[in-house]
Amino acid sequence: MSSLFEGVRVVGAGQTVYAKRSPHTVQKLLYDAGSAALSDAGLGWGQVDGLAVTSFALPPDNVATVAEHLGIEARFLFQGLYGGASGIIGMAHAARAIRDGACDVVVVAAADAFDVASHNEMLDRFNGSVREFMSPQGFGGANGIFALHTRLYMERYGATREDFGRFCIALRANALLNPNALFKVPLTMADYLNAKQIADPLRLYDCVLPCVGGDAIVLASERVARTLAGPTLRILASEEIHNFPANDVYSVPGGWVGFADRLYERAGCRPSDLHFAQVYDDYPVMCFIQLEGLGICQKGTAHQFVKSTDITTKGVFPVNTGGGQLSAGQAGAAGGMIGVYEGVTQLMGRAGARQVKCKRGAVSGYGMVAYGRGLSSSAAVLERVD
Amino acid sequence: MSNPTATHVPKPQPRVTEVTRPFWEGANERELMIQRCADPACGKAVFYPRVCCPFCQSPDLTWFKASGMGRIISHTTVFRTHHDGFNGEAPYVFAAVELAEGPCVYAQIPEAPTDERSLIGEPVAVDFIQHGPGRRMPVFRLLN
Repeated sequence: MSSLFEGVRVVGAGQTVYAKRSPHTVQKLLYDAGSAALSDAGLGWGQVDGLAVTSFALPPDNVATVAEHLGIEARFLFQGLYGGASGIIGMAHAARAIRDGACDVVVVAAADAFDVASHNEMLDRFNGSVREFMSPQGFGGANGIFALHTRLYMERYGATREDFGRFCIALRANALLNPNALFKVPLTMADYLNAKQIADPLRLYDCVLPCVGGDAIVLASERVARTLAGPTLRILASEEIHNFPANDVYSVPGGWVGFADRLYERAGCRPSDLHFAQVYDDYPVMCFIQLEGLGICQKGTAHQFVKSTDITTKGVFPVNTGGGQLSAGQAGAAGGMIGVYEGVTQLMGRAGARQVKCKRGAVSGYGMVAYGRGLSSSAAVLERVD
Repeated sequence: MSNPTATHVPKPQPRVTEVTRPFWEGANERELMIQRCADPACGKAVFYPRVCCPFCQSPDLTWFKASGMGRIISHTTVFRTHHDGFNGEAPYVFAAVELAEGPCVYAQIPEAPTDERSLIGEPVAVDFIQHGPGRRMPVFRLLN
């Protein structure tokens, strides 16, 4: 069967250490993440002829000035404008460009340098509707927006704080095996339940820690990939959807259900054929909604799924095997790449102590918080070529 | 985040545009003004203010005074504010309110209980509070 992204391979992945503070500029973080991914692939910057970059802190610079800064003559550029959905969207755009012969080697990277104050400041002026009809009203930032979704989810489906806690504790266990993760100590249920209140029902460990870091992958044409030593991956399918469903913030707070059937049809597999999921974990409730939207469990049952399924790297269906943003850290827009990095690293068999047995997995993104929800959802299915 | 030195920080103010001005002028008159699609085949109520109907893309939107009645879709008690201008009043209840006319409006629910009890589905009515110099802001009050 000919695939959508015929002639395109994922050939490498790289990640910077995640840090609470760092003097590094976004350019330096993008460079470091990109260099790590190229080195993983056995390629160098001299072979790169395309860039897909996402970074909230990049303006007034942009992907073209990043190309200039790094000295890349580029035949393909993409700048992600969809927050945490951008990593996967950038990967798909880059793959199409390679498939269509526009370029041969694309570094897909995301990085940011954030702390809590600069994160709030950014969100306060994120877009027109937030700036005029949520922030002056006292929305409490992204925490407030997702507290509303969390409470509604709990009320609709009978999920409890303990259910979200189980999810966060499992991700922390995964993070402890990831040398780049910010959090280095286990999370207990008592820690989770009694943490500082942020925006009820959310407490501290439901919220990501804004930090500094970057993630990247490298895509290459099959022609280039053939010259490389390492394993390579295929993108079986990749989908994005925005503002779905239109004019309806609360019936389904995420677009995955809008494309899941098409994603699996195009990928030629079913959710039960996946060996892991790397979901966008800005808040545990959104992970539940992604697991449901991507058909990994039924609607309204993710809280039962995390009760009956071990989602750690030792479990039957590992989720966010590097700890995700909740336990590795949220480096701004890199939050949309951390799962892609992790998925690629796992499929290539380079995940070290946290390696899971896998050949095929799903990665998923979410971003662009606007009037009450994130507008952009994305997901892809990746598979190792044996 | 009760920082006593921060209580005098002004709250973030809306940047009023040509599109949104009738809403804010209405609020100053203690009226909750929203839009309605003038296309008879659609006729849906619209909020936040748009340049066209987001249901049918008709350019013809008219402003009208909403009933001010609604129900709480979901809510949170904000402990950790996003802006120092709100530190003096935290913890406070912030909610998504579904207006009787249909659209969702975000607002504080002053005097609502800040414990963990659910207010989902509770009926509310609009009120207006002073938000800054020359600026009134809609809030909702629990009816029960």
